[in-house]
Amino acid sequence: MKRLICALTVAACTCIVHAKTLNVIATVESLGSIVKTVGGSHVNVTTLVVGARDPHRIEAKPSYMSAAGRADLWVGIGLDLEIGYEEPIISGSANGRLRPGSLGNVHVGDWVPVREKPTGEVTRAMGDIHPFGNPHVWLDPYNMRIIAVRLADRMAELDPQDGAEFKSNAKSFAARLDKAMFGDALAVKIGGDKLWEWDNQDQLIEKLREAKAENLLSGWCQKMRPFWKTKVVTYHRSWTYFAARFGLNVVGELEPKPGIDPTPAHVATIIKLIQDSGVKLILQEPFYSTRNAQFVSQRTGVPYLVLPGNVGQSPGADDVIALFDVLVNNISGALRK
Amino acid sequence: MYALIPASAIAAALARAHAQDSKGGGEPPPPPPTQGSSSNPGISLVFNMGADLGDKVDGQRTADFREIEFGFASDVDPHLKAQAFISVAKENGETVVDVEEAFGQYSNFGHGLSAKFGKIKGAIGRTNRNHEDQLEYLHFPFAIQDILGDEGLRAVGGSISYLFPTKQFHELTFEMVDADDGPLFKSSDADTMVSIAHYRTFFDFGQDLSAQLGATYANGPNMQNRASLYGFDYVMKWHPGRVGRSAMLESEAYWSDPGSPGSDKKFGAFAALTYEFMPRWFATFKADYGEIPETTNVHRQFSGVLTYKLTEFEHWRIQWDHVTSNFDSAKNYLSLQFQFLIGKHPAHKY
Repeated sequence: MKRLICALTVAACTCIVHAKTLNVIATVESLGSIVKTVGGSHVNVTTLVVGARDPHRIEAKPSYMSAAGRADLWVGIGLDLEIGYEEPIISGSANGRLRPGSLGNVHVGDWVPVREKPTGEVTRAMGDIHPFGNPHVWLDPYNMRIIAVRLADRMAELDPQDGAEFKSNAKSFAARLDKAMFGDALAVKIGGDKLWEWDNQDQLIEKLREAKAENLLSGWCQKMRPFWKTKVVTYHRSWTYFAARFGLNVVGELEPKPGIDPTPAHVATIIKLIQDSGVKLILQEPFYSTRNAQFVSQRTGVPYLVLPGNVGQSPGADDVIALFDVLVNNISGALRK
Repeated sequence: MYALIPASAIAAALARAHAQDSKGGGEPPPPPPTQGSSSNPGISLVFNMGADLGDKVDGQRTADFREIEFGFASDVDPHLKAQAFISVAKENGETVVDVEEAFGQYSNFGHGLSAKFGKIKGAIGRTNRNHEDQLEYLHFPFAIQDILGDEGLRAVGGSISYLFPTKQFHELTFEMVDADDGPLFKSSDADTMVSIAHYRTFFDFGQDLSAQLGATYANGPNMQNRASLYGFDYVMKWHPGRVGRSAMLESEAYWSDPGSPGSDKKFGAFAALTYEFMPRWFATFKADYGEIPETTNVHRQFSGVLTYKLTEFEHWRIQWDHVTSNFDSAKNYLSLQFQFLIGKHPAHKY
């Protein structure tokens, strides 16, 4: 009987210890997906920008304040992406745990290599420019790998009881990402860390040749490899990270400046640019009108693709790895034609 | 508006803009903070200029700047945030400097509590809490002007809000402010305060459609009497994912009782529908009704507004108002507005 009581007590304590659930606010779905992957059953995630929506433009809805009021952790991109709504939501939530600088406030843009940091004076004459750099960091799988690991560390600080599981989940996610990027055989043989390091130094193929492992390359990397330096035009300057990782060369945007609607004069310039420089594809997210892309496509014969710029923006892009699957398969498929 | 530039020049500029190392370049050095890295206050200036055609309001010039509003915001320390809004406006031909709001806000007490102290906009309905430059039309509606003044109720005092710890948004705000020169609340006794209670709740009907419903009660001095006010505010917004489409329906209704012997309760209400019919183009239709306290005067206004928001920092607006009343002949006003903002990025308030 004593043993039974002891066993029940231990079981009850264990249940209590493991019952902690971290309430997390993620601003965009790619971050929400990472938090779910890392946190598993120990997190309850509320995502603010859901579905095919422009992450720059949402409003500070009171329901977000309610969710933030109960939250332990705010996970945003930073780089001024959430400049219009982070402060009013956190302030309206009356939750001091989420204030910038607190343990419960994360800007993943602080953790990853940021591109297109303006140098010199930044003014709004340059459009809706982000003075700390391009915020679309989630469209580089390498960044998501860093973010998962760093998020696991931060979540472990907030919930030490489940910290080991968070870190294990992040490691497992990184391993799946490595395999998706470089192929199973190569990820196992060389190891993800080394492969990313080579890729970041633009030495992946050279190093693989040295290691006599080039023939093992598959995954997203291999699918996109034939299209290295292929010229593309995008609607908004949101594909910078994806293009840099997979070797696409973005030569222009339909927006004359970030956040400024296409004008007839600029569209005419882009048409000429496409005709003169051999652009192969136009990319845009689903929340923009396709009118301009259609027009340019008709004039130039260059196809346009409406692709998810975030998890949840199209069928099939249900998590981070699925998002890159959709992007790589569609882009490589269109370029192969 | 945009100069034609040769494609080659554009291509060269774009190439320079995109000329970056193609990959991450190995592990990065520790990056600098990605949000405001300065302890200087965020500063904004809103320039509001306009021209009035048709019937004129007395003393009003045809074209003039209406208001320049300076906004300052900064954390004071880890606990307190300070904000101030100071306007320089033209009123009856004279330039007037006015502190619209200046307060400190505590929002990290925990337990859903936050507080503001200083000169604040009273928590009466939703529209009164906005500054004029945040409205989808020119001027506060009669329903608010008649009871709270031309720019609503702004006064020195304190405000405490409680956000209920529930999944659905419920917020209760209680305020005590020293408002003593409005049409409804006025007093020569500096010790007499206006008490305001406001409740609001919020409904999400899926991702695209949402609504907020609020209720207000206020009680304060009307010289030797006690005036009271109660009302409802409602706003519904439709924001589909696609950029360039949105709609908003807002409505508020107030009943006021001056409390003086023989005076009647008065009613005021307005409703406005704003529709973004094509990207950056907004049409607003507003109907407005007000009974002026302690008089038998009644006036009505129908407005049609067309706004072109070139960016979120700049808009052009034309507004037609048709005003009828039982104390003056019918009037038609046609107003143009050019408004722009520099400095701190505006909050995307609901």
